[in-house]
Amino acid sequence: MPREAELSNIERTFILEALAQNIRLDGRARDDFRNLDVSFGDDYGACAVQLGKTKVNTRISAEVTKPFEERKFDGIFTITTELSPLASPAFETGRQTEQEVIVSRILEKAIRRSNAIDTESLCIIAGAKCWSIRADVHVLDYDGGLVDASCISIIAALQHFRRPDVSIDGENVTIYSLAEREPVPLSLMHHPICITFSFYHGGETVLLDATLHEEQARDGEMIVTMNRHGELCQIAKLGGVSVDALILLGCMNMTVTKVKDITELISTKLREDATHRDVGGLIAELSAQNDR
Amino acid sequence: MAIQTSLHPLSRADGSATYASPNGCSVLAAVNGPVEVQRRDELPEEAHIEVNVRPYDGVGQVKERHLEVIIANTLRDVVHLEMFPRQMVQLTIQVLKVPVDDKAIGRTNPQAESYLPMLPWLLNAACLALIDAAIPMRCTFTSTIVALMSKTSTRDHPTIAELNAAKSLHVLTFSSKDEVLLAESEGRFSMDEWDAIEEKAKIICLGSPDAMIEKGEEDKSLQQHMRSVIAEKVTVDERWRNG
Amino acid sequence: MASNLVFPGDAIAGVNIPASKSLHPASGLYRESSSAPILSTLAGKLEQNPKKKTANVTAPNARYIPRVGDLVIASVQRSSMDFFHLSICPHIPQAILPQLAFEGASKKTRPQLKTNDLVYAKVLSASKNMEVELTCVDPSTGKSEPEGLGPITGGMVFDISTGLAARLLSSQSIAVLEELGEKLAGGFEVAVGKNGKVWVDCPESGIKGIYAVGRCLQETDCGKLQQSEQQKLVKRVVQETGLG
Repeated sequence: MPREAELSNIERTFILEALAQNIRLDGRARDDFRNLDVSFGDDYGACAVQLGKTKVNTRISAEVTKPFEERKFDGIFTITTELSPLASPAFETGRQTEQEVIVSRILEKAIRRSNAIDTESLCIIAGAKCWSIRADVHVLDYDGGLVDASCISIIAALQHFRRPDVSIDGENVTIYSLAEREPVPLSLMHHPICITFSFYHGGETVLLDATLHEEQARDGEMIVTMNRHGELCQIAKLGGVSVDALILLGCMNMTVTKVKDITELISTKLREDATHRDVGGLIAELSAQNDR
Repeated sequence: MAIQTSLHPLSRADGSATYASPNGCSVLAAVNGPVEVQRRDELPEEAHIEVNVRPYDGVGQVKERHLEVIIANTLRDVVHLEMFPRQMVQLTIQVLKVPVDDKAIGRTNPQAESYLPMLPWLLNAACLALIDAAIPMRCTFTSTIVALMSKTSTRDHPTIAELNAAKSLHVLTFSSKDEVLLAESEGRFSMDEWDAIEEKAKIICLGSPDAMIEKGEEDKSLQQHMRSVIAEKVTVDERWRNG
Repeated sequence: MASNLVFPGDAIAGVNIPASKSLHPASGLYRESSSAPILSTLAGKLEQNPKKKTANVTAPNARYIPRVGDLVIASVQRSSMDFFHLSICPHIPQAILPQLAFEGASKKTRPQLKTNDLVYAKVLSASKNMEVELTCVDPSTGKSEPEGLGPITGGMVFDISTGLAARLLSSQSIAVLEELGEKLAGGFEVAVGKNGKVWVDCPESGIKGIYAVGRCLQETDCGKLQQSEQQKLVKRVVQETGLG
């Protein structure tokens, strides 16, 4: 089974010594994120995120189905993440590595269990028909920061997505095609963003947005999920070196700022995409100015 | 809209390429090799070829497995597998975009659709990715799809409406040595019609032999387009040798 | 556009390679039998060396394929009775290094290498049907010099393309290293592995110096920078790190 090549002892020693002198291999500061780029495809709900060299694409799709027996008034939302050899020769198709399982679970907790989507709004006819929203995350290139990049791409894609409009007439449900009626955005309660912290030097040094090499050299990590209102959605510290509580509190503070920045970036990109789609269209029409 | 290709968009895979066809399909292919192979797939005299096709939505099922077998068989004749016994050449292709029918709400059952329309783009992207990964090959190859609409009318780069209305669909792959590497057809057609379609596909892929004039972007054959993209990349890669 | 650009399957004319010589996969050339014409297997520039009667097609970003005589930086994975097992490149079968193939090694004084230690070694044999064998001594002299073979300590190892590695190993000078040699106090030491790895150490400039050299090499590689661009890069990095 292919495995990611381990760091040599020389590389590990150097990375740690350089960090002690505040030097990261790509010249960033300890709390700098790599270059983050968010872009959208022609289809609604297709989002491509690039964080440094890591590239993640998410696609949102919707279909009508029967709700779960025990949750008649709720729709369904699922996230699937699949790592493939595209992203790294160390990944295999059809086999869930430990890392894949952890990433899936974190994204589940961060987005699904924190009710980012208002599943009640997905209900069409209680107990009979509801929307099933599915987020497919495709990791195209892997250089660390998987959870962070995947979460951003899912949240951005969910905000970008439009589902077909429906009208209910008693027992009859009419689903309108994109040509018949404007599709409708999803009802999102909040936008959780995940930030990963990596610990070194026995828990004393903290780095944001580690590259693959930096991830391999770390002693432990913690993933914090928050939305821009400063509400904490989940924290995951799965073993690793013990870290002083004060340092962890410092991480929380860093998260608040970073999440605000990232949420702002996503909003900006969404606005740009909306303008781009609408060139000469509705926005111009709805403008109150008269051409005289 | 013309064909759009790019080489080496990914940093971890040994070789990669994107291919976007005029009718709205876009695929990303990545090649790793020669790499270690699982014991069960090991071959004593040659490299094993592993192909993974990942669809636009959902998980790969029967249709994707069928495409994988066709692609692997085509590559077996092209790649110098005997150079790397007991190792593997691994090809993964991710469909990034599919042409969208304006009237459809969502594709009701992708598995029931024909497997042919995607095949030529998967093969073209695969060829570019293999070249980018510097996997030794006997030749390069290009593929296209031609739809037979009626007795006298054919379409290359058919739109969704044309695909649905066609009498028969044909995918042909030509090597740079003018050989037919692959011919898959679906539907009803006569041998005469097939001959005409083969002619047409050959011109799309390799260009017409008697054309001596310098062609514009739209008239370039697929092979010429592919070669010019590769030539550009080689020029850039060699640039720093002068430094 | 490169005038001697070749594609897979192209016939290579006018190249004088003796019929008895076998063509290595990494050379980009192939011949069905000793009397058959030579064909290209890769897309790249055709380079010829009429004096040595060799030729090859360039593929600067290719994965490394072991070849006899190459110098590589390999990582120890495990050791068995008489051999160390090393990884030259990730995801390819491991190579073997006899425990006694070090200068001055005997059954009583074997080198102590741990997992993930690095060695600078030479490829002794690389047949496609057997494991690659490495050595840390020159096979004829039994010595590790002049190449400096043996375990590597200190410094840092950076990943580069096989093309840049081949260039660094050739006698041709490269602007980025020359510029760095001038700017860094005390200079620096490098050892280049054809498998796309370069080891760097700076006795005087320490961590910052090593970081600067590695960063400049990697950016030159990724950006395919030319001479003047390389010089500008060095000036910028040296300034950023506060070394110059």
